[in-house]
Amino acid sequence: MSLELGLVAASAVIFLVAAASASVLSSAAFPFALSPLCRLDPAMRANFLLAWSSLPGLAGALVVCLTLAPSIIHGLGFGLDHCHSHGHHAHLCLVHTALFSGSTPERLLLGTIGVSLLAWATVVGTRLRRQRQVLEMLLALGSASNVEPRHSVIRSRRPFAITAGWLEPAILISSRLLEDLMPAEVSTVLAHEQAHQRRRDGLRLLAAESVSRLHWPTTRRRILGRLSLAIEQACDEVAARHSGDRLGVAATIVKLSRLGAGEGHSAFSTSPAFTGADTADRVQGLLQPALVARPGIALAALVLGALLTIAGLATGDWWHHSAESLLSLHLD
Amino acid sequence: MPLSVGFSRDVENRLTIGFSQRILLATFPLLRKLPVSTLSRPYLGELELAVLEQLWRGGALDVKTMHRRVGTSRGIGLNTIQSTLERLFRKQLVSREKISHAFIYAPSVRREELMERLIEEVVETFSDGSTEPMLTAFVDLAARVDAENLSRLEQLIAERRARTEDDDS
Repeated sequence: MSLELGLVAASAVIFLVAAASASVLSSAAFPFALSPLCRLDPAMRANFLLAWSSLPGLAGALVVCLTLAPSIIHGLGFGLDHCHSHGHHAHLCLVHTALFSGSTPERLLLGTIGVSLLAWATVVGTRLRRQRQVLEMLLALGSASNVEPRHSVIRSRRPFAITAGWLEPAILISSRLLEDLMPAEVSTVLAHEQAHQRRRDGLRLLAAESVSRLHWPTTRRRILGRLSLAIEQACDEVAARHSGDRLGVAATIVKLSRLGAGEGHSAFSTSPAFTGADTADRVQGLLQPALVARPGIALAALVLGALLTIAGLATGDWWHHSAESLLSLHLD
Repeated sequence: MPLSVGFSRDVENRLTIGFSQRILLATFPLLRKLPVSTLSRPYLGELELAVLEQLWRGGALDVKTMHRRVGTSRGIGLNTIQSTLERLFRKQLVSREKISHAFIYAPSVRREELMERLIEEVVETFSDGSTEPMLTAFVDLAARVDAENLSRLEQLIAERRARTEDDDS
């Protein structure tokens, strides 16, 4: 038996093909999914969008698992050795296929993937390290709250409130914001930011940003934009429940936007180039009654996911043989 | 001892921004047009922050006074304080002047200035220059909502509040 690709490279090819297919399907389906998604309450919408952002990667991983399922099942002691049942095929098999073939195409493929992953990990790692450093410096320089942990007041002429950090997010509020807002408005802003802190929304966004890399770029931007909006709206809802005044939260958002705009520039010169569409959407959302959470939908999605997985496992042989055919792996 | 005795301040600054950055500058001359603060993104440890804090509070100080105020309580030697001040000088966060035989250090950035720079960096590094908003903020930090739109939103809120109050009464 000779294989151009070992098991690792073959699995990588299957992963990439499945992920690319899922990415195309996702791009086609996303516009149709928007309307039903908008009817979900923001917290659940954010969860769905986070799951959607990972679809290509999940699809790739699932197809690789299904492709290798027959040999995994055999390896666990269940079922027969499937390799004897199709003598004309080479195998994508954990038992018989070498992990690496040593061929030039394989080296090129794995080298490219490895370098890309390493470059990405280096960039992300550097960013994470630097952000942690900057955050700790700001917490040390700011006036820490004696009441709330990881809250800090930053002396600044710009009005802002930020929750930054992933595992231990910190809330940074500018002195200008505290000066310009009424106590009830400050309380609203704090409730909103504390919701981000509790939900670890920075971590969600980082996860979405990372796993969505396999999406088509335009679709990816739309998904991440919608996710960001859903996350902000989820925290707006928390702030509205806290204050008992949805219109008050909306008014605070507009007031703070106006304070930033009044400076003649946005709050920051270096920042994501998003328009202010989110502000309008958030205010419009708060003008409507709160959407009722429907946990049944999440349960239905879980059941659907489980059924699809079972169906995939039941058709494991088909996936296995299709993948082998796709890769044109044949016995000599 | 200072690295740059005998050099002008400009040369001194360039000498102290780091070897790797000098290679970078030599490779990409256009980078010279950027302000030095854009190139050097200092990380300040706990001791450096404490020293800066002391300079902000107490104004210009020499090494011995700084040691008395910051070092003694921490059990830190005079040399450590001296090298900390040297590092801050290299990072262009303090300036120094030689009076008699001792350097007198003074903060060259205000606390607010440093904080603003760091906040900008938080926004910049969290967004990574990309178009995706990766930072959770009460109001989109990059939002460019024009005044007309804000007025329209305020009007909508006012109308809704009036309607709600009418319904209540």
